[in-house]
Amino acid sequence: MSEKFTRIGILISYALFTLLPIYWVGTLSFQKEITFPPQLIPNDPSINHYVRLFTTRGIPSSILNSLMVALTSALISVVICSMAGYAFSQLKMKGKKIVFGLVLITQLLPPALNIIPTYSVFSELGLLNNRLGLILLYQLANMPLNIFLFTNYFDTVEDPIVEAAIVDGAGPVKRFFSIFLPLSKPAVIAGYLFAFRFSWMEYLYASTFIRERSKTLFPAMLRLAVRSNRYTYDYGIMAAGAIILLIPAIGILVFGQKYLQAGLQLGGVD
Amino acid sequence: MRRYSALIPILFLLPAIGILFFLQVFVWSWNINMVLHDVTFMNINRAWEFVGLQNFIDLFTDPTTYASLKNTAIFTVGSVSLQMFLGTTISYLLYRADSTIEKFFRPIIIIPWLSSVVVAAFSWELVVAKEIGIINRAIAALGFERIEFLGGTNTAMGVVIVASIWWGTPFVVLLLSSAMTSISPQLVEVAKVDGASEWIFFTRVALPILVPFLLVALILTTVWAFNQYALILLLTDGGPLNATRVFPLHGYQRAFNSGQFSYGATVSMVSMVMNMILVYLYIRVSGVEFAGN
Repeated sequence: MSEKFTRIGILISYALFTLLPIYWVGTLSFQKEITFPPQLIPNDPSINHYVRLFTTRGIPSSILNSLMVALTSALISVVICSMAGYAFSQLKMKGKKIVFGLVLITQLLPPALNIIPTYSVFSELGLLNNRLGLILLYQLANMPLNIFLFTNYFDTVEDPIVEAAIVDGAGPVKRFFSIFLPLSKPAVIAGYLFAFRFSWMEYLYASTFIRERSKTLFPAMLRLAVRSNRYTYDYGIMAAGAIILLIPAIGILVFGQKYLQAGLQLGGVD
Repeated sequence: MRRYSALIPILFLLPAIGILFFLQVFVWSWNINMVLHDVTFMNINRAWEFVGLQNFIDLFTDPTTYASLKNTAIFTVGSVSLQMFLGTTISYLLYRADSTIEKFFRPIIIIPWLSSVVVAAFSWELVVAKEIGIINRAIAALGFERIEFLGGTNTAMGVVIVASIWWGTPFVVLLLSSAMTSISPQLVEVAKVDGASEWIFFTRVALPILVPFLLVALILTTVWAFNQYALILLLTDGGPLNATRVFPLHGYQRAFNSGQFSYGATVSMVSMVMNMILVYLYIRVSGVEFAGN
């Protein structure tokens, strides 16, 4: 019995470690003024910092930019990766395994590694300061996981259904649209959530490739707002901004957890 | 059986392969081009002067390069070993817990994985801040002197490692959780009947089954930690006194702060080679097939 308590004790400690920063950011964000020493629970809760955040120049438009980029790049990712997954899972082609292996390798080369040559290439092509350029970049980061996800999901579609469609004379393109996509709602949702999550939270490329204020994404703009004064940080903006950045993640956790977990298993994370 | 044109699979793969080709193959060839030339902020869009291997000489005669490689080693070893230890422990405990307990803890433990690097950096900065941080509040309450964690060279590295563990461990838990399901419930029952303690069961039965999965997780976490500089950029910007300036951050700062793009590209090239070694190990361990039909 004591073993069981030890096990739960360890889980509780780890959960507290996970929640500590989130609790602290949350509690700071609702204090009217961040005092010294800080209060553990705000005595006089206020949304002052949130109001200040949303009235900071550039913040509202950066949230719209981020949403636009994340929603679009997630949609494109689902289209591109479901097509590729269909080819890998259902179509016959020479050298398919080699191509599939190359996609897997990409997963192991994080986008952060390519940032300098990509910057130079984008600079030549006029893709800097361009949200479409970022959407293109995010496809690369989202591809491996989502291609695995769709390939593995399409593998589970039962043969008799496919054979019946073939007998009915449906070609490969028609089968993709009339059988595979409609049967793959969980994969589509999981793939969309994965890609949305990545694009919403990405900071490095967004802050390096976009320098024009009107096009800046939320995480990068938030960093600018926090450091608007060179020598001090605006802790209130920092805390409120972190909470706003976290909200979609919590939403995904609450509404999409079952898709995420199934998706991760299909996405080759096992 | 094949009743369609060979073009159809190619068309389905074209967008994905096109992006892969452009952003990996082409961009990396371009990087080689940058490494062999002198590219700076001034001439990035103009003609570049060919300098041969001068960039490698510059990189490897620069003492800050070695300092940053040392920081990378400290950060990677610290972050990876703790992530692996915690990830294995937590995923095993979740696997062995009753389903209600598991369902309660799992979403909490996943939260950091769903949060942006900016959230990870900001929240840890607020946790360890000198005046308004909760840790310093506790230290002061115990009657000790407040510590400027991000201002000291050792403590700053410590904070960066802890933040990376907070952010990265959930992924290890997710990765290993599905591996745990390959431990059959019958084994657990048999061990219980035999009166084996939890520790004996974990070390003698579970761990040997998990070894291949642990190796895959180890390599993925190492790649991740090696290339993880956005978190460090946000938390310390490589400071104080370059104590947290890891190797890729060294390249990034040379390129984007000092405008020495070919120097940065050389760092990327060297990082790429190091990553390829890890990728090779990954392929060997995970047994990905490249041959056959």
